[in-house]
Amino acid sequence: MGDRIAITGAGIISAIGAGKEETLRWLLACRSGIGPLRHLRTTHDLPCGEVALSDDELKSTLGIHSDQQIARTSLLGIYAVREALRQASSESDPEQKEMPLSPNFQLNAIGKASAIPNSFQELKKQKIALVSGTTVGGMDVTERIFLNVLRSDEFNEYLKLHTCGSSTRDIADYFGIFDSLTTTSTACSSAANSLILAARLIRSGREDVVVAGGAECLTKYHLNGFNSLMILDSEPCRPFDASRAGLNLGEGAGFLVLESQAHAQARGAEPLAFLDGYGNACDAFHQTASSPDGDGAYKAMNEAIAMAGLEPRDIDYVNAHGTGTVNNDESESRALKRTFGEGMPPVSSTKSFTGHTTSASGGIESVICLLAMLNGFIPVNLGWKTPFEGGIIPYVDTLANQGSGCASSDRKVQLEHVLCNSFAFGGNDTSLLFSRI
Amino acid sequence: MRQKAYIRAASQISIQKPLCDDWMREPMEYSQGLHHCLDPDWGPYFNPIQSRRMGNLMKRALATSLQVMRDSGIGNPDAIMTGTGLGCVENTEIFLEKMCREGEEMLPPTQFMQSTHNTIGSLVAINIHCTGYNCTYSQDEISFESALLDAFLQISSGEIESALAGSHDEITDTSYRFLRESLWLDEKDVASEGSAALMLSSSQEKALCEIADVRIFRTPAKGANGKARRLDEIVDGYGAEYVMRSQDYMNLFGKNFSVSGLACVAGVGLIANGKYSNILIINDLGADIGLVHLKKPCGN
Repeated sequence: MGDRIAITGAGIISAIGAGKEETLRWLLACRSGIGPLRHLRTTHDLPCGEVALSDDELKSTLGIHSDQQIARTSLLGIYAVREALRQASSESDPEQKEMPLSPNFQLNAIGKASAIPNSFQELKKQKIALVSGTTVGGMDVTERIFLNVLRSDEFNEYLKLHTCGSSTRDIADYFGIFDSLTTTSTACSSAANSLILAARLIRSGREDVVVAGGAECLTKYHLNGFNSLMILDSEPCRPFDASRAGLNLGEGAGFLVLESQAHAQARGAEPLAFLDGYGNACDAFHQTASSPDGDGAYKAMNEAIAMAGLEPRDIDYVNAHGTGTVNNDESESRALKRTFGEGMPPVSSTKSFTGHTTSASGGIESVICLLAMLNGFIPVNLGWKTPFEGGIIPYVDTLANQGSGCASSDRKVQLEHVLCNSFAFGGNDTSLLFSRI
Repeated sequence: MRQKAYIRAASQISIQKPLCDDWMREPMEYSQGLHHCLDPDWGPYFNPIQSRRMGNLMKRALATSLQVMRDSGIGNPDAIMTGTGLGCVENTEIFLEKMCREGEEMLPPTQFMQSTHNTIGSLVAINIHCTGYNCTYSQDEISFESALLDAFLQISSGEIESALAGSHDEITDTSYRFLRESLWLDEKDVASEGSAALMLSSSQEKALCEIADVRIFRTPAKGANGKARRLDEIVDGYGAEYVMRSQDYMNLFGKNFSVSGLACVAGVGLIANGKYSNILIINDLGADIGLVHLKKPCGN
């Protein structure tokens, strides 16, 4: 496949923190971000993985005027893309030039001073694209105004469309450096699929640098949709546990900066890891349920491993999709057993930390995989106690389970190759394979 | 070496006559306002029970997909790439309205289950048992070009040999209102909907045309050394015999987020009929531009 795809930047925001440092601390401390909702207004009392920052706090951090109407999905996306771009460009351009601001965005004084590092100027000279995954985009805004629009007899011209594409456009407009953009929308595998397109855009020589991942905020629409399917647990979720009773919804964003190894080298950017393999397959079984044997998942994982020129035994860790629903965990366990047989590597779902961040999950969990590889630890599968028949036994920290805190940090492990699974409605199954240097 | 990508079949359901080529001779004319598709008889595509279970968008997507499978002789493509600007609007609105009006209890799951944008691509995959790559793109006006670009890249690199690519959008009274009030649609616009499906193949056999290029880019576009390039410069660079711009093809198909897919079906027809041998379709509806370059297939 020619040149390897290097990851030179990563950004994340979720219920377990804004940015990689805070996320790492929570992961190592085995501290879940799932709890009662504070920002989303709903009549349901369901635990969720909500990002701690409010819309106003996010706007203030990002230097966006508080009166600008912007979807939370866009704000979360901007936050994570900014962190990823800063990392990818930190050492590459010592020059401090003034960056022209995008006319579509109103930035206040903070924004002008700090939101857009001048070093992005260097990236601006490259062919650079943005690919983001999202499912309901700006539904948080739409659901707030929907009835008023329907009830109103007047024609109001202030309405902004909050489509999936508009959230990606918001992110691109904020930075003003992207030559092209698009949005993948394959429900819960959206971000993972955006990373695959990114790799293809780079391999084809069409783009030098692609920022890819996904963003999704909690909405009443999503919460009630999942609730109507009766797959939300009223307790904190327990992926792969016999008592699991559904998922907890989450929100956030995770983005990676990708470029070819040669391109990274030429501009002096240090790769954090490589995206060496990926696979996407469709179960073609049911609109919302996974096939009992996990056919799509099995195919996706095997494609990713084969593409990297590896064998299943080379995989050191799998970040499972592991939503905590009866159906997913059963089907994914079957697919994992078919793939790894007796040589099962450590597997964990980090959704008991972040909640199921739907479209963003592939991006968020990719960044978690990178944090695990770079810091030599395996994220634990919080909430697991009892195996179910046919289920895999996920990685749990025995000390944490005994209530003596988490010991992951002082047990260094070497993770060379990890798989990150994202499965979705429509049987859309994606697996990504990351390798260390 | 780069593998060439060909279009072997193309099909559309729109405000023009559906699923056939003869609409081009005497295109229908429309006045401003909201217009729904001229739907065909669904009989040849699915039985009445299936038909009752599907909304119009699903029926159109499935029928155009089945039609290009029949016409191309490719019954099981290696991959399915779908574009949609607004996705399953009708189902989304039903669920949303119920939730907003009646509160958050007792909401039925049916509409939610069929409201994600990839419901369309999944439905096609389930119906034709295609377990290959499946991806859906939703980037407003350039959703179609995003899906086609993915298919084009994978055929070019030799990863796949065939792909079903398409774009599908529907319009409802409510979405019409939102599109009008957000000023995406003007009072004078012919607001429409449509489904377009293409069967791509790396083999030149039975090819109607070759896809020479697919691009998506923001304007102003960046040229060498980051210098801005005007859209006209880029268009001229292709030296196409016939350039179709959004305003041209919207005269035929009206305005919707999938209209450039319908334009592509028309372009394929114009080349297959021998009218032109080199067509550039420029989607310049918004700030993000889509570009599809079609050519008559070369002789061996």
